[in-house]
Amino acid sequence: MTCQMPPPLSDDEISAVLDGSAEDDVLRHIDVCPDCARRVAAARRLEVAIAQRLNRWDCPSPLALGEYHLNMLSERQARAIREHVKGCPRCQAELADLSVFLKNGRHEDAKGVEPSTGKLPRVNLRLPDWLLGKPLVQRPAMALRGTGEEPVIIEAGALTVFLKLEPRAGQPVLLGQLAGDDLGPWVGALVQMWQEGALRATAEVDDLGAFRCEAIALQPFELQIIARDGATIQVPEVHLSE
Amino acid sequence: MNLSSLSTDDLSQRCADDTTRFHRQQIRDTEHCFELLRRALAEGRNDAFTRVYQIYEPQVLRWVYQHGRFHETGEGAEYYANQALTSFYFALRGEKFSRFETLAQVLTYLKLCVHSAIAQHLRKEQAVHLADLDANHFSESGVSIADNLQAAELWEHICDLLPDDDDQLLARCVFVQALKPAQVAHGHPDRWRTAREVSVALQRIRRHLRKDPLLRDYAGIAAVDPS
Repeated sequence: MTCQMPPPLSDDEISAVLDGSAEDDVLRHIDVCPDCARRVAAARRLEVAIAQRLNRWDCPSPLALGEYHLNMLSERQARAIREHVKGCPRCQAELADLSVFLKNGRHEDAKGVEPSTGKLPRVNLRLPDWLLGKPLVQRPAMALRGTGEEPVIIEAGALTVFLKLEPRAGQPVLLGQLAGDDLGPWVGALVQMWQEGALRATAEVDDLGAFRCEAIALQPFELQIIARDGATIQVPEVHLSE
Repeated sequence: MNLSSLSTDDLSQRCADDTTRFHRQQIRDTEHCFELLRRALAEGRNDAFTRVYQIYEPQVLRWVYQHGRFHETGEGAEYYANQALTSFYFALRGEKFSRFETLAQVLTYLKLCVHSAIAQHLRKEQAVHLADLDANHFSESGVSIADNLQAAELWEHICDLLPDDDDQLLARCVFVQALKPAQVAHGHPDRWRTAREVSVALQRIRRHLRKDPLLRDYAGIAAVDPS
């Protein structure tokens, strides 16, 4: 393919298009010339690929910046962050936001505050670190129901979650087990059980991928398992039979 | 009273009462709440953490609403409250809790977790926005074909291509910090006096980067665009 309106766009004209500062005749050229339009698209693809990969790649996490602000870091860690912040306007801005936020409302009361909607903490599912747990065998009901002695089996990406209620005097105990090739990220994960918009119980995933909760007296419930790196398994409705 | 002799249920009730009195601007005791937090985090007791969550969630929600950039996020406050309390759990569980001596210190850290949840989300949104600029660059699974090259390696390669200090600084401002030419000129007036000077320098850098075979391959354009 060749340019339909020679001469072809120069590199600098393509850069101007990417910056949004191109002259009208350059924009008209792109409209009628597929070859130059393709060159612009390729240049944009290159820059987006680079920028997306490098976007704040070496910035400290917001929590680390905050610990720096609160003087919680070792001198060595603090020095490294101090040096970074000197040359990073993005981190400088985050620190400024944090400073204002921590100073505000130190003596606030409950007045003038929007009430909680009572809804569960919903997420934007575009984020890749959220997995929606699904029953391994599809059942017609929306809820995941255990049948007698059988555990509920939930598939969530490369992981499988088994849930079962163990009868006990008083309240039954919820037993859970994660299974998969790589359980490492899930060891120590926080298990949350929600009902009607309120957190009812929590548990911790142990070294073998198991968890148990003594105080489970609610049916049905929503289950969330949150790994330290933020990856989350969410099962909207679970009902277990005793 | 020996706090350690109190059951978690009793301790939680006293902490909840103390917190209510605080919100009515009455004098508040802090020892019950601090002990509840200590059990939840230092001792890793999940029954105590559940109570901490229930007692402090309303306060955390108030902080989310107060955060200056919350309105930019497009998510519900409950989402950030959960993120903050979860991150609080992971950050302070175990030995780290021993560094706190007062309830006020622990709650300041919890407030920091609210900021962190919002700031982290805004960082991710920036990356998603960049991806949206070139939707064709992503597969259906949402994973970039560029994911196999680590950021540090990529940056090192760019520095090799741009040995000049000013060029490296400009590449950093544009690709790492996502600054506009005017922001670059404002931040580095000793290097570039105007946005126009930044744009001119940037055009030269772009010409250089576009010709690099590794970067073209990295972006998946080598076979598409032979120019």
